Amino acid sequence: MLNTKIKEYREKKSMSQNELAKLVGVRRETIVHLENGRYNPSLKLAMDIAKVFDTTVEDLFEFIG
Amino acid sequence: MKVKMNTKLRLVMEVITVLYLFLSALLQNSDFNIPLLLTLIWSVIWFLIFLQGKRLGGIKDELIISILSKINGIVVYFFIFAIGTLCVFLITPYNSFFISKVTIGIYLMLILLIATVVRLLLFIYYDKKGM
Repeated sequence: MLNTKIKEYREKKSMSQNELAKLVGVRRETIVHLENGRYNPSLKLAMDIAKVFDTTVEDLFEFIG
Repeated sequence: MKVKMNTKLRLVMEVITVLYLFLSALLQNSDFNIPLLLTLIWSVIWFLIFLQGKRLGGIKDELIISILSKINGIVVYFFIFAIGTLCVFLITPYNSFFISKVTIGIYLMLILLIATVVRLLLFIYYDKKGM
């Protein structure tokens, strides 16, 4: 199971899901699934999102179990 | 959003096209004539979808690629089972009935129709549920 802090970082930057999706080149629905832990992103997507928030992949994503 | 609409639209058009071909196959032996205009309309619609796909530069969203990969894998198993069943019926020496080529064609078209409908429904399901 994947735990993410994407929503937390996104809200800190006052960014919408749509805006984040456009920045990393995916659909808004993909961001929704990522935030709900219903999708495991590829390494490239994880790194792109981490780059947007100026943080690390390890800080954004946490595997549980 | 545009990529999702194009993928869903493409899957719906596949279902409608196969349904159209299936109905044409069923009706070809009747007196009902399928107008050439309908065929031209479908060709134009498919051409427009093809152009739209080219304009969007193919599918880039990795979730859609993952979903399509998963459902294509499921549908391949369905094809193997369905066509395998047909082969058993055709090859076995233990049946005494004759299966005409029209029946085989309609059966194959029905498999294709079921496969395209299942692809569309699975895409909608996994898109909502996530992977």
